[in-house]
Amino acid sequence: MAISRVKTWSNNEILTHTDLNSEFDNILNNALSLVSPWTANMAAGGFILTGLGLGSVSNPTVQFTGDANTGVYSSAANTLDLATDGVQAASFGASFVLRAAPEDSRTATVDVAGIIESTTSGAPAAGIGTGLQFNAESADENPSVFGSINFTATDIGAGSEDTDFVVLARTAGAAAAEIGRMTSLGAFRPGANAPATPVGNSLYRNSLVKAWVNVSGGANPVIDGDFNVSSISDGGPGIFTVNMVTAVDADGAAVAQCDISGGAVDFTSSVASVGVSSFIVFIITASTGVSVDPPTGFMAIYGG
Amino acid sequence: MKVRVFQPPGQQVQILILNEKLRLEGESDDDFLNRIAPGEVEKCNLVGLPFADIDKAEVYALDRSKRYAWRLDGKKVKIDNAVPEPRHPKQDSVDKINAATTLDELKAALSMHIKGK
Repeated sequence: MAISRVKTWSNNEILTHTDLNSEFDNILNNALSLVSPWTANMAAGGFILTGLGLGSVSNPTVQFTGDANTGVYSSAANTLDLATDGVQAASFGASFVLRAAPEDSRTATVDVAGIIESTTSGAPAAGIGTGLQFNAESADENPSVFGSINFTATDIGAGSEDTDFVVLARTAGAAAAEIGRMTSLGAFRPGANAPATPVGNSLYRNSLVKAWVNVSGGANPVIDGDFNVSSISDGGPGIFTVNMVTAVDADGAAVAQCDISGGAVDFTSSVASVGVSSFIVFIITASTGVSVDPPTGFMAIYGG
Repeated sequence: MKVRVFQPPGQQVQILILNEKLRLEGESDDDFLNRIAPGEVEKCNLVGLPFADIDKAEVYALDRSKRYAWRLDGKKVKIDNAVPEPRHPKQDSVDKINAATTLDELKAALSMHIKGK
């Protein structure tokens, strides 16, 4: 506490009323000197600090030693703000803003602007994750859970961690459930088949190509390119069984096709059968009906 | 590169050609076939058939025009010359045309041939 005195006392000197008045007047006229600056922690004793000034982004209401432009202030009514280095870093009110401030100087890289972290005291296992939930209001729910975005592990092994980005949303009033995910390998996996009336220009689980293969080589067939094909079986000229690595969902729920390139040769093709793990195509010469090896065959299966 | 050749009873061989993308680094042909092929035979209904693993180039060096006669013989695929050439898909039409003895019969046979009946 810094209370200045008005007089220096000497040995045997007499205290007069003038001396006392001067001393107390000094205290009354400089009340702030009784509490500022603090020389120890201050306990409010359960009372509330009121009447603070609003402050500003460059001069916050509550500041820190040696950092006068970092602290808490209020930029508007019913709004609480945080300033870092004289820049608004967060604002909580009718809308909220979170900002990495002050800005950095990057040009073509991504900054980790924020981290949402939730660890566990248990033993982590596949399925563990962290997410954000989004609430709003519906006709009968306030708040109403509208959906979530999560990052979920499919493998938590040391050095082999795999995580998926998962989107959950509500359908027909049910609780939010997975509607799709971007897997750790970058594949987008729709969560549901199309409804009876699909939304145009949309991707559904059963509207995807499930496998395709490009077979060239004519009489000596070679797999040139593929997706989800484990092998082909040569059953004779123009007869191929295409085997899939991952089966389609259900027998009969998918459709296969075969296109052929062969210059002047009048090929035609048909799909003999479609199973969950394979499909068979026949390729014939249209004019004669004789089965024949195509220079190149493009075979695919959709749906399922 | 080897393929696994299956012998269905009384029919031409089925040749399983694995996708090379599935081969592990440094994996031998035999290991590759033994690892993948058992799962494949269930997909394309070759379960229980006798088979042999043979070099692909050796198999496909055979006369493809006689593919119908390719038969598994031990550890090799051979052409069984005793196997008759399969009937041409339009042989019935050809026979009817050849059998025609009058102009009307010939016209009828040609008409059926053109219409694909």
